[in-house]
Amino acid sequence: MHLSPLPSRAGRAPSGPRRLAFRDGMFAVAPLLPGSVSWGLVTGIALVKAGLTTGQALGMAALVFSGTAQLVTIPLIVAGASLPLVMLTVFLTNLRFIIYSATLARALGRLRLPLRLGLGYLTSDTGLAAYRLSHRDGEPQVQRVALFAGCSIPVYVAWQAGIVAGIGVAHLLPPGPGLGYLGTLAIVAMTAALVRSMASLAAAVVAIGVALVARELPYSLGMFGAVIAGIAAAMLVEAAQRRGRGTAGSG
Amino acid sequence: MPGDPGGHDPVFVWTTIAVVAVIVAAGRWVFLLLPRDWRPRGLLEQALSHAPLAALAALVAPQVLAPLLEPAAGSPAALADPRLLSAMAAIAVVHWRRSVFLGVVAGIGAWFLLAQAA
Repeated sequence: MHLSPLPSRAGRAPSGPRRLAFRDGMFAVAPLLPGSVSWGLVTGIALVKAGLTTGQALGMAALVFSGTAQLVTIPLIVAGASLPLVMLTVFLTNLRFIIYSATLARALGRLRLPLRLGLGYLTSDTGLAAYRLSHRDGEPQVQRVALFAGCSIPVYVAWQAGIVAGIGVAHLLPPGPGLGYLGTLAIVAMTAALVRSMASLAAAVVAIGVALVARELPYSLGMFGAVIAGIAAAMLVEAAQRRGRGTAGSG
Repeated sequence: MPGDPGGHDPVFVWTTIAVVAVIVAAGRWVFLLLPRDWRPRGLLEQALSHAPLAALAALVAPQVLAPLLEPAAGSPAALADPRLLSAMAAIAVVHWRRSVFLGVVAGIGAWFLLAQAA
């Protein structure tokens, strides 16, 4: 049949295409799942070694579906940081999900609100990458939604499995005061991977410089200043590069 | 004390978990709740895309570079600190193998080796 569904039928397409799209999503995300499990493992170990009880670590895993947010919160809890600083740091490090949600709004647009928010909650870097790779333009919404669910739900399951395993492993490791640093190492690797251009290198270098100089200030002020300065540096570099390309192109 | 299981005030920990959960969920819902056609563009989109890197770098830098900021800074012992060297190993492997996970593994491996030696 041709692609001309009546509006009234768009909401209840036959379950066949939907199930196929869900399966497509699972196949697309499958190669990335070992990464999610291992990442959850590291996070689970870091949660326990930062001094959370098993119950607190499991509670955080269940409620906060974001490795970055969990890893970022851990050292702040250990340092006894204030709640406003935790909020500011988590907000700043999770800004990319606001950008993701703009992408997602087009995929889930007309869905019922509870389902839309539920699927939005499941957004992950990994799941969205798989969705972008396997998504085809012009797909009906039912299939887009099923594809997104197929990409995202396995990531959630793999991630939770990794965390639970990590919490178990952490109790087998010898207690040591320095093990909380493992979470910091995970953030270091994540940060290094985001440095992919001159602009992002400038953002990192300037943010680090300001964070070090301003670390004696009331802490969240230094954090905020470092982020603003880092963003400004990256945008200056990008502006300079555009100007450079513009002259090269016209000359 | 850091490192002891359950060493933090439970009320503070659970409040933090709840607040973090709300912030993380709210970020993902922004454009699912706003009118659909509005998305960040131009300078705002650019600024938003650089914020996570700047925030992560600013967060870890004082912890990673702590050996250089402490009183013994400048001594060879400070440069050979496991915290500094394991972070450098993680960064090197991330750029060499293009894999965050291998970088974490390398950093943790280096940290255990060096902490054992120290």
